Amino acid sequence: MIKSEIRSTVLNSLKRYDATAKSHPRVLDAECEFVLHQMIGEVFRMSPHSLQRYTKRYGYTVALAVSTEAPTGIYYTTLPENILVLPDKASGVRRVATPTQTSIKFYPMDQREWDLVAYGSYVNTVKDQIGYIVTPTRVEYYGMTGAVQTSGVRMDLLIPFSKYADTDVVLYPEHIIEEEGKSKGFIDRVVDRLLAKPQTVDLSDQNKDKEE
Amino acid sequence: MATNALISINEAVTRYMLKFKLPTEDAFIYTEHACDALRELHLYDLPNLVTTKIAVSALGIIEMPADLIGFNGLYVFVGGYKWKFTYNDNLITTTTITGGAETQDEDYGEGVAVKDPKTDTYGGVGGVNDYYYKIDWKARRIFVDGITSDTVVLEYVSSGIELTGTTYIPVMALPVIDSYLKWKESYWIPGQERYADMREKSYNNAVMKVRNFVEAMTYDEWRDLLLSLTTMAPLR
Repeated sequence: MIKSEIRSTVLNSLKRYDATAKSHPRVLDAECEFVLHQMIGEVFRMSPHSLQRYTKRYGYTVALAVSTEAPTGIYYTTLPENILVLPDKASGVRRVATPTQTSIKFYPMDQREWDLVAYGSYVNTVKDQIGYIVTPTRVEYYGMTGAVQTSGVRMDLLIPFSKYADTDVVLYPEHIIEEEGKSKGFIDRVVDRLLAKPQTVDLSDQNKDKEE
Repeated sequence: MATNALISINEAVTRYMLKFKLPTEDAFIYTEHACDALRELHLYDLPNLVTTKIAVSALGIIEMPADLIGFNGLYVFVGGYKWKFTYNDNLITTTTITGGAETQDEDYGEGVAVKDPKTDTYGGVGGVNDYYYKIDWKARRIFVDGITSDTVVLEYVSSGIELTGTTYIPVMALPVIDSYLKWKESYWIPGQERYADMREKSYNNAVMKVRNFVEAMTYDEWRDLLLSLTTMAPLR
């Protein structure tokens, strides 16, 4: 489903409190965002390899640039979008690759590993392995090569619901939970959260789009 | 044509992660352990000796290659065959610094040629050699007698981890790498410590397989061995 359809489905699943049955899209999106992140977390615990299926792809048409930070010499790519944060090293950056499909080169690592590996290890002498470290705003690289820097990279990211365009297909996890005798998937859980909120009955229809 | 007999160390690691459905986030840890496993294989099990021509200095000293972890032999070539140097524990392995330069002081026996008692009459003892060597592991030097300012052949065991190119392993050693990684991951994956002993046995079994294969003789070798023990005689 595209994002606007999800929002519409949620809206039409809610009880109508006033003449316009209006719930602000931002409120709906916030609940969708919460549930999406929660369910992505559940997938991570159940089967982390499956997370790849819920990513949005970046750099496939035009490769993402690999830059060099002048004072430190660190190679990095600025994240093209905010990501969901997950507990493993890859976090919301589930895959980094070169624009042309080759053998795997990029592996997630953390800063601690970078420090240990660079200090002296066999890994430091083995070629064709590039480590990527996910930070809040950018992805930093260990072992970046000139050729890869020139070609740029592409990334598969897990992003928050709010960062999808209205026309983007949002691939939400399809697993369901059993709760109070009912099977609940993504939409049900969003609606449940909205129903659980106290809402003012707006008999004067002040919630309409514009003043008449 | 079948698949290659050599694969890169990276490939060994990616194959392992594929086969055991592992996340790629531990790739660097697995790579480090795979290199350890390869070094052990080179040192103890594989017949992968490095043979290289190496210079003997004017003082009769050979500087060890940086990747030498095990010494196998020193040779000169005579008549198409290797002529092996003889180990002599009594060679002098000190030098003297004179005016900032490394020299040898004959007063201390440094650089003095070994004189074997030689006789060509009956009753003469064997063990007379033209070339001797002694290794100073601390200084990573080999002192030789009988040859200076020349080139000899050194056979040695390397770590096998390439500094400048791709590191390859024989594909027959892949089960050893796999079982080594499985064993070692017992120590960092929570809850798997109890499998460590069992996995160590599995690793040892894999090593023995490789060792048996490496040490095994072909049919021709067995046949030659048996024939070399027999003597032809006329049939009467």
